[in-house]
Amino acid sequence: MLLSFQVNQQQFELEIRPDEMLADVLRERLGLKGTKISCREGECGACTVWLDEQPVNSCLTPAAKVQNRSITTVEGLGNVENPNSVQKRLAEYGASQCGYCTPGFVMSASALLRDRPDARREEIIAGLEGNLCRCTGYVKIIEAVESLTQKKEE
Amino acid sequence: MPGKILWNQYYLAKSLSDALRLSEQSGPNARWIAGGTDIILAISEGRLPPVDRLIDISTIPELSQILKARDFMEIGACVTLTQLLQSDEVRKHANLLIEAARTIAGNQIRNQATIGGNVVNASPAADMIPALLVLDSSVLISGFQGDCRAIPLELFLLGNRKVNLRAGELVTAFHFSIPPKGSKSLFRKVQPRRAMAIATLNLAILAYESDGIIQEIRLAMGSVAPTAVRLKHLEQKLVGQPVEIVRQKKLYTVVEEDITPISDFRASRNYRLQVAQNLLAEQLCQIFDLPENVQ
Repeated sequence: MLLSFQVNQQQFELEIRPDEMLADVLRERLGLKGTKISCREGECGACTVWLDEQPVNSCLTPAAKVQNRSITTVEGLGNVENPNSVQKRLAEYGASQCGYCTPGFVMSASALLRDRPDARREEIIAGLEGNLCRCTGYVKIIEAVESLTQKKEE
Repeated sequence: MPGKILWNQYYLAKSLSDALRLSEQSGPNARWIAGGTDIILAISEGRLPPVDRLIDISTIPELSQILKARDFMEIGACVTLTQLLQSDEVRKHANLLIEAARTIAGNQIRNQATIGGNVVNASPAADMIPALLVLDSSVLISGFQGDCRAIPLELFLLGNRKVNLRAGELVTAFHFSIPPKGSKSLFRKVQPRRAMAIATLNLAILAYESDGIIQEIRLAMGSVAPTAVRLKHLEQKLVGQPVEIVRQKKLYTVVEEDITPISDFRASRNYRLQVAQNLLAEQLCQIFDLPENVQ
């Protein structure tokens, strides 16, 4: 079937199998390898992308579902030459070891900070609860994200 | 992408009538998909047989409304869990639905998963179901040729992952009367971590007291039977009684008449029996602002 959709503000029309998952379409058909596949069960968040600005697990999203919709992948938020603030801060804080979970955290954290720029620590932890990391123990990830929040004037 | 073909066609239904027409044309070879977070896994892991067609109902406007009328609310089956969390009307009139939705999975899942999917999947551990049970919810269902029916949620649930839905029927909404002013409610989930876990046990309470007497009490528990259940024997012992009755520990042994917990990899039967009683005691004292039971 023909899939017509936007990825990182670019329009695409692709011939896909009706039962392909969005994660596989992004990686294999568009070559956007930033989105990682780990559990294929929606449990780890490594595959997180934005569907119409909302974080979703692309491993569980049929590509056919996103007909005429807009997808943002980690490549759409920033890259090595031009990292977004979350990517930059995660690197500065040493909040990435093997790096496999990092794109997913970038997607979730960037959405969180966009929607809740003054998120408190508990909200940050809750906002990232769909992303797992096996290397870092989370502390530096949370600190990096927290450093980007705006404190409300008391 | 794994080689096995999971489905041959994927339709995005534009309206309820479009969806029902597609379903009628497809016969038994089609399945509904809303958020897909349960069903995609069930099909890819072989727990459901592959089908010819998936009919996606997640963008049908009529199915994603939250309606508040003077005395009742109607929540569309395709309302996502995130939508529930963000609804002022739900927060004001049925906050325990938000407490329940918040305990489910993580943000990514909640952005796609729907209240209808959680109910129709009918896991014994489903978190939205106990909350909907204490609200005395009805399930609104549409079929071919515009047939509609409504059925109390308790009768809709037939067993472990079994619901009262005929071929081609679609759950469109959940309907419940708004609890009286001054009602209190809560939802608690016993789970091994703070997110991304299935309930070891869950509990919903709706209570209304006045003049120190329990006027109305509804209790529902999940993960303790093939479906979530109302604890009718315990409710009967509490209604009409002074609130202090909830401090009596021996009261709670009566739950064994309503629950049939099993041992599984999450917990043993004995653990569930004990936790059921302890959690009820703790939360009933909390909801009535009483110090925890000592007797």
